[in-house]
Formats: sequence, structure tokens, C-alpha cells
Amino acid sequence: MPDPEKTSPQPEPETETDNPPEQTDDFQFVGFHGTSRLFAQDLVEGIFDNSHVGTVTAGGITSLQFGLGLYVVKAIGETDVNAFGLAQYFAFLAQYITNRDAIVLKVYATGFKQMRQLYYHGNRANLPENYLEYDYVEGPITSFLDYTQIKFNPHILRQLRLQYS
Amino acid sequence: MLNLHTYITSGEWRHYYPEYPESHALNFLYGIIGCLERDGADELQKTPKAFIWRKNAIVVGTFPLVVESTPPFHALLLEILKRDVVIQQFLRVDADDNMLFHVVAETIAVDAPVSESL
Repeated sequence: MPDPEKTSPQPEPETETDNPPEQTDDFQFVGFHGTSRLFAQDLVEGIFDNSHVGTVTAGGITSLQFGLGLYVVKAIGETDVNAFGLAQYFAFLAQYITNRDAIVLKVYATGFKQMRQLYYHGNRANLPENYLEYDYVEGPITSFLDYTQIKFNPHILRQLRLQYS
Repeated sequence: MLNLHTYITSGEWRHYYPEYPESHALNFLYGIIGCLERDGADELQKTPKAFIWRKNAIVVGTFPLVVESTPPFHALLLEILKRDVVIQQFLRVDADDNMLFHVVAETIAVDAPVSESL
């Protein structure tokens, strides 16, 4: 049964009203990450660990197609409503599993253009063994093949900045 | 014995869909089914733009469908009701309107053990 205290409205963190960070050639918006209130504030504060990355890794209901890391729905801009809407699916699942509010975060990256990319179109079972040698894995999203996901590997997460949308 | 929430979050149901081993659409739909139990809903409706669930004809939950999945959500939901014998005990499609689904039990107990590997 849901815990009433967990489902009651939560006070909005002050950071939710922040303006978007200024983008430069070296610092750019990448896309959206769907998660829940349980993890959102840590992610905004730059705290990444295995309980955060992949949204919720413990449940069999989630699919970590590209292994551990932070999954982002790639967007063409901060107003990309389709990419935002797709991130809402993942936020919805995180909300169901954690019993906390669904949250979609904007994801910015420093040095994104210089990062080493592995493009991969396949399932987890055939993921190349050396995928962690790259900075991120990019490829189509299962069930939503017109859209692209970027999975940042754990070693590069410190170059990300997440913000409430 | 497991409850429906545990069954859904375990991913034990994946063996019904060997052709969709990492389907996000299935994850989402099982999440929707879980919300029916959590929110005490008695009805689920699929519209072109949303999933809407109700209790005593009052809306208790919605989810807007901004992006359609492949295969489409509606076809997959019907497939779930064909294949998953656990979900069949909980949810059924309306006899006259296949966009409408009825909750037939408040919750269910599941006999099947959850694989330790999950």
C-alpha cells in the first residue's frame, strides 16, 4: 500500500526556479532524464551513485539496455516536447517503483562534443564488452525507435549538470 | 505468495514476451496496470491521447501519450491480456469496446516464484 507521507505534495526545492544555465560551445543542453523525487535533488546537486543511475536499477521492470549509467532522452532543444514527453514515461515508471513524484530533469554536459561515443543498436546481451571505455553510448530507444538515448558512463558523470525542467 | 505490485516490479512477466526482451512500452504498461491496483481503480480507458483510470466513474489517474510506441500501446495491452495469466485475473477488456478495460479484482496473490536472477 502507498505510504501517505510519500505521496503527499512535497515542497518544491528552490533550485526548481533556477534559470537555465548559459550555454557555450563547451557546455550544452543534451536532453531529458526521467526520474522520481527520491533521486532528483541528489542528481541536481551532482550526486551520482548506483542507486541513481539508470533511475531505479533494482527492479526488473526497468531495462538498462546500455548498462549502468545515466540515461538521457536526446533532444533537439529544451523545447523539444516529444523528447520531454518520452522522458515522462521513464519518470512515470520511477514514480511507480519509488512511490514518489515523477520528475523530468534537463541534462547539460561540458565538453560533450569532445566525448568519445559508442553508437550501438542492439540489446543488452550483445553490448560490446569495452563499452565503459567510451564516455557515452548512443542509440535508438527500444519501443521508440525514432528517438535516441544517450547513456553517459559513470566516469563522465561529473561533467554533467542536471536541472529541474 | 506475492502481490501484484511485487509481480510487476520483479519483471517476472518478461518471459511471456521473448520477442520484446527490453521493451520500454511493456515496462510502461505494466506500470499503468500497477497504478490501477495502487489507486483502487475499477476501469482503464485508452484514448488516442492518454490513458485514463477511474474509480466509481471518477478519474483517479491519467497519463498523456505524447509519443506512440512500436508496437502501439493499445495492441501491446491487448497482447498482455492474451498472454499473461496473472494479469488476466486482474484486468479484462470490455466486451463491446476494446479501448476500455475493467478491473475484476482489487488485487491478486501470485503463486509463481520470482526468479532469483532478476
